[in-house]
Amino acid sequence: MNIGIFKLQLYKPPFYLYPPKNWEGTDSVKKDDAFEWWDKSDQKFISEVLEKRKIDSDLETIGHILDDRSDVVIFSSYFYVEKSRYRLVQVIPKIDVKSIKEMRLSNESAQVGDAVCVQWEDPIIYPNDEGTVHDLREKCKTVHITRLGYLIHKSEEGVYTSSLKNIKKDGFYRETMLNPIKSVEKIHKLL
Amino acid sequence: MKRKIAKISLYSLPLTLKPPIQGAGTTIDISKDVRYWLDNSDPEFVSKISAKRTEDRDMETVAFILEETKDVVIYCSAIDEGSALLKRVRIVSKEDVKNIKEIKPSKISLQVGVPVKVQWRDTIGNYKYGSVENIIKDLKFENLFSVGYLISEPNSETLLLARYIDNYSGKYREVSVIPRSVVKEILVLN
Repeated sequence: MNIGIFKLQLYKPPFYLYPPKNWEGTDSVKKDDAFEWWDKSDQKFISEVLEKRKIDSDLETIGHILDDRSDVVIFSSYFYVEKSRYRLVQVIPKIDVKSIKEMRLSNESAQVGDAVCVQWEDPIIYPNDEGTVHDLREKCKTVHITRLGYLIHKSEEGVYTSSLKNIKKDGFYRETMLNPIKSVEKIHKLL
Repeated sequence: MKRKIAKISLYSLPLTLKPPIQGAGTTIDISKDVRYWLDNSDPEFVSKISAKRTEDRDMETVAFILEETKDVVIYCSAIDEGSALLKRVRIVSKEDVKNIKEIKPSKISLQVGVPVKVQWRDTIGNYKYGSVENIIKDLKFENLFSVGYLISEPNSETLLLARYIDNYSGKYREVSVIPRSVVKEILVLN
């Protein structure tokens, strides 16, 4: 599946976009449904997102753009490979986006500070499935997730990535994830 | 903190006990008494716990016992001893419990169907803003333990833990799938 990767420079932090009330399904979304999450959000949340910025926070993030048809950009840095669904979906008014630049995966070795795409094998729970040992072994598999961000540290135990970077204040990040090193399958540098 | 682990035989499936805070999910801070969550639950939910069961199952589960009163048993299947968080917390009326038997780590060999306690590492995250140094200092792996019945082959690349077995049908339910690469230790319980 071809999913574009973009570097977004922002004037203010984005907001997490959650499923609207009465949304049937999980907290992950297919690309085509992302706009509906925004469109059906409650008015208080929409007003909060669209509120005029007071300062330039000078931020940068990396994500897959799910929708930009209206006055906002909806994006996510977190992708379920097998399900083709996105989690931790974020939204930012277009007026608060400085620039958007497409990036690509490279095979160059990633260094601390680089923009990266990390793929790992993730545990999962199948809460409602019932079956014999044979049935459940056939059905219940781990999932693979990719996450876009900045490689901020790598140790013998884990890989640290952050998805929001402060450009003005070098070395300051937000939205950090720590993956056990043994579950990480790939780290692609993004160019 | 060491928690009692038990095999619980049930006539019916339990309910999920959620903290009385909207959006808090099913994870509970054990620094608070779990009774607090029950005492502050919605009255409609509380009445469901004590409602007369409509079926007679023969289910069994393996769990960390959190609270046992004359009326209810509260238990969970995963616990993080580092940050003191409980995951997948369930509550069942004593009327729906056949018996509770404590089980402990044993020297029985690992085989399909045995109750196990697994120590493993999950991916974790936080939303804090800060310098790389402070982020690394704050973000540490959880000391995570899960219990259940092993239903994968003992040496399989992927560990499958089922929370419940139905003794009538021999079927299992509620399965956790954990990559072997993140498992630190597996103990057989008996």
